[in-house]
Amino acid sequence: MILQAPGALSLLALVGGIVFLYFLRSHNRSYDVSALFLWEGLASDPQSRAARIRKRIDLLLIVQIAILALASLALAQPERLTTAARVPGLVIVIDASASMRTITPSGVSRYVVACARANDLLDQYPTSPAAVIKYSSHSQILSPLTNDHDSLRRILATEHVTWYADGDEEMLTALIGSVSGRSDGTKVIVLTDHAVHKQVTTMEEQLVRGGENVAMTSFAVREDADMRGVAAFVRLHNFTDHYVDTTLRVSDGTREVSLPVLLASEQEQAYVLPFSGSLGPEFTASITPSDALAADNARYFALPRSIDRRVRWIGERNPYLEAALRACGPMTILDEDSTDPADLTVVYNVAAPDDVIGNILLVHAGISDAISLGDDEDPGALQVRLPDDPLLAGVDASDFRIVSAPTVTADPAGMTIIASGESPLLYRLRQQDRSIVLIAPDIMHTNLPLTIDFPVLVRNILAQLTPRPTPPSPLWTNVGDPLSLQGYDNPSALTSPDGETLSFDAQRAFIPQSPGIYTLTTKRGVYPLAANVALGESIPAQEEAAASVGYEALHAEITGIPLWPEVALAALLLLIAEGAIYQGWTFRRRRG
Amino acid sequence: MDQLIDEGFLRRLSRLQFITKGRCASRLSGGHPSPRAGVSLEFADYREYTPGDDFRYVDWNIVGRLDRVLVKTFVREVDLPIYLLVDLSASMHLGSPPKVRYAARLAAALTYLGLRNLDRVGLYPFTDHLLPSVAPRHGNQQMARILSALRDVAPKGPTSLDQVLHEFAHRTHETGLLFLISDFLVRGEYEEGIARLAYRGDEIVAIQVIDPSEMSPTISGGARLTDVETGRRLDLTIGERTLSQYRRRFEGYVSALRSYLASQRIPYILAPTDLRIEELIHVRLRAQGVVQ
Repeated sequence: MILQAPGALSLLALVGGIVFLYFLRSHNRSYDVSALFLWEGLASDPQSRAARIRKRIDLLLIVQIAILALASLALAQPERLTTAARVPGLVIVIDASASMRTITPSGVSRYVVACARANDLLDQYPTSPAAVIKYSSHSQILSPLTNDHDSLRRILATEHVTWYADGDEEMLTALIGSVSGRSDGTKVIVLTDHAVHKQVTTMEEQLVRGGENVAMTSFAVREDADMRGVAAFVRLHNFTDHYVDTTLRVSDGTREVSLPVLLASEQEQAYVLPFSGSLGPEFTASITPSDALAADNARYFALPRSIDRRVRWIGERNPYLEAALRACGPMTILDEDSTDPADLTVVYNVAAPDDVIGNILLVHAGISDAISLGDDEDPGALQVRLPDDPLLAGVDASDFRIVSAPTVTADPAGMTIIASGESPLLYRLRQQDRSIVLIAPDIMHTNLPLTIDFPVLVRNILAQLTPRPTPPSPLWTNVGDPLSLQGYDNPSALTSPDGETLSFDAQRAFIPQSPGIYTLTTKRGVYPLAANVALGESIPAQEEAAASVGYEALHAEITGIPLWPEVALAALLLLIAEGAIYQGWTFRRRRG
Repeated sequence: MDQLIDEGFLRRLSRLQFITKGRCASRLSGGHPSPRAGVSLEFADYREYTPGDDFRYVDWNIVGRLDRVLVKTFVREVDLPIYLLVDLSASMHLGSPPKVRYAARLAAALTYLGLRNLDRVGLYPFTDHLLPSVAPRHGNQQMARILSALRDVAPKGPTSLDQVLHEFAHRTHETGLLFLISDFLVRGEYEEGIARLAYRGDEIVAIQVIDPSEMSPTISGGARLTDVETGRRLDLTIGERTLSQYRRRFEGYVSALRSYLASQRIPYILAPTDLRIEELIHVRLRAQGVVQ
């Protein structure tokens, strides 16, 4: 504390005057009595005299001296020197990534510690404009530069840590630049638990540490070859400095397998857990007991499931062709009138409608703009023109016998694989938005249903026209990363791991906000979507990142905060108290 | 009136009435016995007939049996003048509540009690002399007059009971029931005046109004004591021993007052200001036989 007008303290000399006047005045308290004759002649009490002397320094004298002292001090204009520095601008960057959820030994998360430090910084720079940036893979400016530190404190109190990954440093640099503007010398303090490359020269990094972690750094599930179970692949990393005894569990929601694990310090170990009898599709791997960072103690995986092919059948049903199609995998045959989308349209023995969408298998059928059929006649000898075509993979066409086949006029852009003279018997055409395969003869006029190559031919055709449908995008992602919903067949609902229904835009991406299994309901089925905390959140910071640039010492500025209003107020309150005390004593005397 | 006594209190007083031990010498008819014979329902004695006696009172049975002409006499019932002498000296201003306030409330209650029993009540405030008084009268108007006088009291000046009682004896010619309400802190200057009134035949009731702090003061340390009536001062360092001496002296003073009054057959009632007026009247005045 310093005094701007120390000469005012000379008023303290008046204390001597007060004391002098105090001892001058009579110290006998006055009492009115009804009959003085009853008191006359009574002996004084020596002990009471001693008490009176002890009480000579009474409360009023002390209060009066205190009032004079405070008044003198107020006139001396005291100021409190603060260690607070003043800078043109203070940008506080708080890491809000998932790793900041780590519980420190003090029992609170790193994020809470960082917020506390941010409040300390605001105290340290009370007169500097400050801004706050929340730093993660979805960084955001919580407040631009402002002198209203109270509002910043309120923002810090209401914001929460996220499940996101660490942020992009270039993005952070851009945010800092947009906050600080052209202000030179803006101090940037990053409160984080990992190393941040210093993008600006005035950036200072303060590491928030604490909390030990055993992380599950990888988790995947693969179907067994016999389709009777799965195998889970898990990788654990012990980031602590001691052995850790833990239990690894993999669960599909109804059953689980577990494995006791002992990990040495800094040891990373991969495990394969057979999980027979389970096809999921939702799997959760977890380790117990939990540690300081619970976010990476559990990871989630969604196994892609087989999806039925949908085939729209137009025309006469043929059991041999249908059986060959079903032999290629799960399949649903849709009626001609069905409005459901189909993976393939089979047209048998009729002309294909013009409004057919998607790939088409024509069997003894034409289509108006590309293939027209003539009358059936004996085709004669078969000619295999493209023996290496994928449709003939594993097929010996020499066994095929055809009684009759139509003369076909086909788009020359297509490829004739088997022909009879100039008329194609097996033909393939790639149009702009679809593929067409033609089997020109009616298969009931051939020996195809009787040959062992017929199912192989149908499989090859199917493989060309409808590769086995799979989910249109990966079923897993990191929290905060977008997961495209395009390609799913009419998504109708999306629920969070907590069962809460989420709003979403089917044409855009969905960004999970917390780890767990999400559920996407579509017309083709229900898809589990797994969201995990990014792997990088488990990796502890390097020691050397804690270095500070010592910026504060260069720009520190000692400022004084005036204290005289508080001192003057205290003097005034004491003055009022003195009056009250005096009135109280007078009243009591009158009563006595 | 509401400032001094409330309605509920008055209702509880309504069943009481004053008791007179002697015979009052009033000239007006009333409810109290007189030393003179008169017309009433209460038989007193026989006496020889003298010319001029009313024939209606001749006891003809006696004449027949004894052959003597005797006439019956009856107790004369007269009304009772009630005098309220209230001390308004400066010392009555002390205390919490002030003693004069307590005395005024007590006087108001006694006024109501007297007027309700169809007695005449008069108020005689005094310091070292009699102040303007309210002469004894009947009726509700008298109640209002006395209350007005009590409400406006402003204690000041010294006390001189002897002087005041002499003045009172000169000013009033009827004996009556006299309530002397004072703190009696006058160093024995009351005996002559009281003796004179007692000799005249007044029934005196002495009520000493005292603040509890006067009986047991709590002063300690250095004190400058000022007599509010005389202005004399005394510097004293007061401790427990001093207070003990004071209490003994005060008790001795009160004891002397009580002894003197007892010698004059005058009821003495101590009225600390922390004692409720209701309790004072119902308990202490009743115990002394002043009311029933």
